Amino acid sequence: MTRGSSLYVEDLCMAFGQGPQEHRVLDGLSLRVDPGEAVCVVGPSGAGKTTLLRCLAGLARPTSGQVRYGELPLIEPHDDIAVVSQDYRGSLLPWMRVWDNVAFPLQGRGVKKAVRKSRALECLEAVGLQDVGDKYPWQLSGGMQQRVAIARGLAYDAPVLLMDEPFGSVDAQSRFDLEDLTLRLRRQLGITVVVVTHDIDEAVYLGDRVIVLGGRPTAVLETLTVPLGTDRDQLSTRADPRFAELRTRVLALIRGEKLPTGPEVAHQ
Amino acid sequence: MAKVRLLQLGALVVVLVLWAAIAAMGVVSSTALPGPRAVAGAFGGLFGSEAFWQAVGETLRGAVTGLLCAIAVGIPLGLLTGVYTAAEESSRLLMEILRSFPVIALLPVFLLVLGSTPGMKATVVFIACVFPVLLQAQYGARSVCQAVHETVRGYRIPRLLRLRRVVLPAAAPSIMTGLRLAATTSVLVAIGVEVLTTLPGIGHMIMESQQAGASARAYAYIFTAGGIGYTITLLAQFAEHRLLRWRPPAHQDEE
Repeated sequence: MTRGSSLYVEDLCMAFGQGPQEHRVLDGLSLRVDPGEAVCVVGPSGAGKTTLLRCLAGLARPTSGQVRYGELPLIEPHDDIAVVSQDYRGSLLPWMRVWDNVAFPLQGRGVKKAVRKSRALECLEAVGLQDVGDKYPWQLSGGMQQRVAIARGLAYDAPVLLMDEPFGSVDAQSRFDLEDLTLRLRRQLGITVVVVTHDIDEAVYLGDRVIVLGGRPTAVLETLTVPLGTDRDQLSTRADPRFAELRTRVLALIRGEKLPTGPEVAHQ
Repeated sequence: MAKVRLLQLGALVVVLVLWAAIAAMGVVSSTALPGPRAVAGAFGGLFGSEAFWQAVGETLRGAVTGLLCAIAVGIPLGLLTGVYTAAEESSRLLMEILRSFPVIALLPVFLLVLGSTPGMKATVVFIACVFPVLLQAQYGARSVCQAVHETVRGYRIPRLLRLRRVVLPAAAPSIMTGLRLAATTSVLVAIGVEVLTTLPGIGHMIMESQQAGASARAYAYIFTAGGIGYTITLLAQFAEHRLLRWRPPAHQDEE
């Protein structure tokens, strides 16, 4: 059922600028995501989550350390990895109709137009968008545009889907729908999903594991396993005591780093 | 909307009336400024004459040839220099110097090198038109936003496909602005060259009519030139509307 290889991040450091102005964002990050797993990376804003995701996508090169996909060092984007970014407005091409946007990456692979189009419509249907293929992106709501971006990722037929704050700029109801959509697609297709988010509830709700980032520069604080199974729904899962326990734990981890007046002070 | 149209037509009528009044009062001699009626009469004569259509054809041929060459050269070159920073930076100084030359000042040089030929006219039009097209294409290509770049890179879109389906459409609104500018310039320069040389065309006919004392005919030619310019503007607007259909309606009113 599962496809693709594991993603490895080994001792990843990322610094911007040179010499005394050097600003170290990520410091010695290591993590691993296995095929078919859903992993959420959660951390405060400005912790370098997007930078980490860009490294995973092969879009950015780390200052030191490495990112591997199986045995292959990821120094450029890979056919097996699709990215859904936060900025759906910017990432959908406004001059292409919706179906064309979804099919465009396939054109890059030399797939014929008729095949491309039927595949695109199929993927649009999978994300719950029928009959919008011939519209332009601006004619759709924010939540629908983000669905199109996800459909594009699916059409690319990549075993690994990376999502950067994917539901950050849509309304609350669409957000729940999109979270459930992500869970369903992942279950049905057996794809690996890595979601980067600052929303703790979302991270716990979506992930098999939650990797908590924090500190300055950012490092992995802890990796938590989410024992909630694969069948989750917005009402009962969020009401589960284990859900509450996990989210409190993540919050404490992040807070503890941000506010030195927390429990740590007592130790000093 | 209808009200605006009415006001616009009203303004046109006012100018015509003023013109007729000035001509009738004899403030300016009738050889310098014939009345509207005389010019309209001259038009009537011209429409039937072969010389008129030949002149229009000659002017259009020079303008369109030069313009098409400018588009064929300017758009690809502009897109490439817009995408590749190194190409833009190395060519910037040369470009700034070249486009600062008033093309009419170079006319004697072209006359010397190419002679007084239709090819020379098209060349001068090309040089005048290529820079607005090229610079607008370059500017448009640079306006592709970061999110689009990342997406295209992430999905490994090949270079040529990216140029054709991402950079070109992203630059299209900007290119259309350049095209509108270049289209008007092309007719202007073609007529300018005809006035200054002996090449056939509307410009030449204006000079000839004036020298022959047929000022009403000269004005008829001048208005023909104006009509061509106006038609080109309308055509450009129509093309822009068709080509940029993908833009949300709010955008279309911006310009």
